[in-house]
Amino acid sequence: MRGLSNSVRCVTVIFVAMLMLFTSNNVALAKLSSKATKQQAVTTPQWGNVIVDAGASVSTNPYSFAWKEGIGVEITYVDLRNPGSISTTGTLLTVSTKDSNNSTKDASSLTLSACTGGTWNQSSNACSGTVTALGTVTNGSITLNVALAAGATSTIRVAEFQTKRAKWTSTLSVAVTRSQIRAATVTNS
Amino acid sequence: MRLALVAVIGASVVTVAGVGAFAGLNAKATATQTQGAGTLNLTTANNGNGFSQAVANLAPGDVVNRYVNITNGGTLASQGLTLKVGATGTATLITSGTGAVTNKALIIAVKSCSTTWTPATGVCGGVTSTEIAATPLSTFAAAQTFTTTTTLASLASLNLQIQVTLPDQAETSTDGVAPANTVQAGSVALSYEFFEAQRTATTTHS
Repeated sequence: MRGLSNSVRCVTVIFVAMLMLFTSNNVALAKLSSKATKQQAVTTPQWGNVIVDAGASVSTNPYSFAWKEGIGVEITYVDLRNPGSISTTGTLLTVSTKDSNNSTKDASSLTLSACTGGTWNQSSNACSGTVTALGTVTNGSITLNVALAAGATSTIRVAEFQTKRAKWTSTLSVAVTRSQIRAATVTNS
Repeated sequence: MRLALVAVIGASVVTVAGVGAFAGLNAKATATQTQGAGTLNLTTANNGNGFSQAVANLAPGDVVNRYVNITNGGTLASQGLTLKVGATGTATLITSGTGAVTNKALIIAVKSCSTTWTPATGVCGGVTSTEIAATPLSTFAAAQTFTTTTTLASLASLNLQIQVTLPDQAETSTDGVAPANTVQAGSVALSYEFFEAQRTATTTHS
């Protein structure tokens, strides 16, 4: 190669490389492969309950109610509603009752009842079915064992027992845990 | 020197071109031979609902088993079976949380049955094998290799159970509002991609 110009050397190298390429048995052969593709959607439900005024639309704020001032019993009705997409078996209700000074001392207790198998007549406070006691709470939490299908509503009677004359306001908040929706399932299909 | 090089190159071109037209007597014997290239054709068929129906209302802890058969309809045997699953949609169902974020995303497992699955009951009439152990959905962004069935003969099928699980997890909704990083009200579009490669190439003398 001595005595050759660089351009001739370059052409020679390219030529030899091409020669090796075309004559080699080591040509990279394309390998066959095949794919099969399918689509599938997966969705999950939403769970949770709300408390609103009887007949009112869904609100995601805690429910607040100002009781009339006066010793004795006062009654109101609220809707426990399931706006989710899966049934709930119960609800944890947390109640906070305070007077106008933001004090909880001697706060009124609330007794909650459902009308099972019927409806409440809110004028006469009568239940056309069976009155089911759900519990009594002052400041704290209780579990309301009320099963609600998705979109369903249960009207709850709330009776305030006022032992200290004051302007009490109750705030009701409801929570639904994983254990308060249906149990997990194994499905084959 | 340059002339010699050009001569070598010219001779090589003639050789490579295979145009060996040299003078002299020739005799020819001709024969015909068909050289058919092999094929691979991987297909899926639902056994029961399979992929034809969405997995709806999957609550934490739920397990949904669907059944599909994959068939190598080509003329060649295949190897290197894999499954890749693309996922778009609710992030908490695709990738599990880390640190303070505790959401647990979907998990997929693949099993095979040496005979057939009964979709309604999930019973395998023969021997059940784990092809891909329970694996987080996000991991399926890369192809996962079948561990038991590594080859598929021409026209052979593999009866599969595709198991989709939403791990159990504690979530509390307050006043109808789901917590942060919830798996509730989620939706994910899955794209299953089964793959096979041709068997190892062979050199045959006959």
